[in-house]
Amino acid sequence: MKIDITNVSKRFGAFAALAGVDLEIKSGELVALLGPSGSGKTTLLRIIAGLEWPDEGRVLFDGDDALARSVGERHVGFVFQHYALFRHMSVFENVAFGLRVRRPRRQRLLEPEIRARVNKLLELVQLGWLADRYPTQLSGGQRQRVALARALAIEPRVLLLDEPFGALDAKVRKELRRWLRQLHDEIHVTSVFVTHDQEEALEVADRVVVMDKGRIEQIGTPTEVYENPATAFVHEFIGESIVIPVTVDNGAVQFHGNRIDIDTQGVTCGPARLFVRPYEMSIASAESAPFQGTVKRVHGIGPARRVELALNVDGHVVEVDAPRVQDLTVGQAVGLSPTRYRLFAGEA
Amino acid sequence: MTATTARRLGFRQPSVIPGFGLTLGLTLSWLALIVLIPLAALFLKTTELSFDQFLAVVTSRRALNALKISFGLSLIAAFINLIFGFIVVWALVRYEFPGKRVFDALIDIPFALPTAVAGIALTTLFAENGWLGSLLVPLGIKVSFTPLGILIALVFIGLPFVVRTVQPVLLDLDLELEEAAETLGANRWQVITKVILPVIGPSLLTGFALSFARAVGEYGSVIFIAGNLPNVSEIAPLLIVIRLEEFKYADATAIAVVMLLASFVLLLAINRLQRWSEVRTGRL
Repeated sequence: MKIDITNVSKRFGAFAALAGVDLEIKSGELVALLGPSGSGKTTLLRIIAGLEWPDEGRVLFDGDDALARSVGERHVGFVFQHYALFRHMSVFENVAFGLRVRRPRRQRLLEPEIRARVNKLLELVQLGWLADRYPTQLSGGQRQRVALARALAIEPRVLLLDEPFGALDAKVRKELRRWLRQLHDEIHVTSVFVTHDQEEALEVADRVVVMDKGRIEQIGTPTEVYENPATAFVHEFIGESIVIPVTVDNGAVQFHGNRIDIDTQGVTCGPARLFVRPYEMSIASAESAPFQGTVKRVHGIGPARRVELALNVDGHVVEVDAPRVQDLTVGQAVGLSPTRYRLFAGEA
Repeated sequence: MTATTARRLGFRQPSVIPGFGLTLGLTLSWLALIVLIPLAALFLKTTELSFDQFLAVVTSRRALNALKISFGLSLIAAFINLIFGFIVVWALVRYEFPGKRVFDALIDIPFALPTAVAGIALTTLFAENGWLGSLLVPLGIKVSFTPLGILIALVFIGLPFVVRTVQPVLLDLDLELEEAAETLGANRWQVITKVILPVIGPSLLTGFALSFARAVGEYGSVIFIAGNLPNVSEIAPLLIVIRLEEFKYADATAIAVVMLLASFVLLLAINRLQRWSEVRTGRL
């Protein structure tokens, strides 16, 4: 199912949770809403579900006005962050709930059909052997999968997941997100999940929606948002960044009054920030490079070493990845030259 | 020493928490001192009567009617409190309204108010020339000095028991559970019957049991409003007091024993019901 969100805004008192959000989700897509806490991503998800109503804007499901329908009529599968399983029901009954409450009554499945459907879903989430247990007897990862099976039982038009892996430990989280991706490839239901973990969003989603302060900063594939961040926020939020404050004056970039050999990338006069990935800053001889600094610390294992450097003019500390073969000693004066960078206008 | 005894008797589970022997000993001594010894004395005193005399006392028309009034009205009062107490709890937990904290504090008044004061206040209100009673007279309803008056007093003193036992459980109930049920297509009625009631059910039963137990033992507020007509509006505790004043101590304890046993059976049944509902719903 296709979802069109147009100019959706939502305020909680004086706080603007969403400020004019536009988003189009294609049928069968797996989309991640990524952002720090308070960015409005959960509010957007709850508005799609019908658990929250926007102050203005439109939400269309396949061209139909979803806001005219209540949460129960929208046929959405919602997986809550803390699962919200019914403690007084067995795993089987939890999954069967949506089928047992279906209205009108004559549309309700017969008991053998319900049993067959629930058992099939429990097999899908690999929990058939736990059907008679109660939620309190399950581990976090198992509860998560029960919640997912329960949401899928009503054959939702869209699957919405709120921080689906947030409450799990690191190892289970990794397994489960790989599993979720596989599951999505099998059943192809349009899915939207909320996360504050960029690694999770980049690994699982077809497209990532990066949000901040109730606005969408960028929409794109994981590669797009990582390789070509649209805004300073996206560059800083996704992946590691070295940030160096500079100024642009007369079409040239200046660092503390010294002109440096960096392209302005269309930024006109005023303060700006230079963003470089740690592995795209090369350490060279001191003279020719745009920045000069002193090695403060060298550490790390693996193919690259992490080098902490203090820039000469203002003592600003940056962390750079240097190849293992490069010989560096603490106290050594070096030059820094970005091989790939982005320049964004504005102060930090 | 006690620990080894316990182990030998075979009911002690290995545990990391020390002090089993000490705490069990203290618990039993305290229970004996405060509860069991006085109750045993009650039974002992009753044995002054022969079994035939005992039967004659407790099956006399007046005693049977008093017991019927006490238990019957207490059950009805507890039931009314169950329903209205739940509504009060719902409003207090789920909604914000001006003066909510004051209302919340007012709920406890029946706990603290001397029961005689409550009885006199209710009697005055519901007397034929009282504020509320005068409104009911044209409808042909008499409250003061009738069993209806007893019921009102019992409802009054029992309300906080239901409210205070259910309130924390409802506060704890995650709103997300209701949202989850709604996303799965449940309507409001299904949410209440299938999600909310099963969770707060055991606490409702506890509130019912406490409210009932309190009503059975209530004396002070009832005797003012009841009129205390033998066979009509005379409660069992009052009959016990009357027998005491006649120096018929054994008669009094005989009625008390019957009350005690009946209460015990009823409370045990409620307790089993509560446990059954907890086991059934996987919380134990």
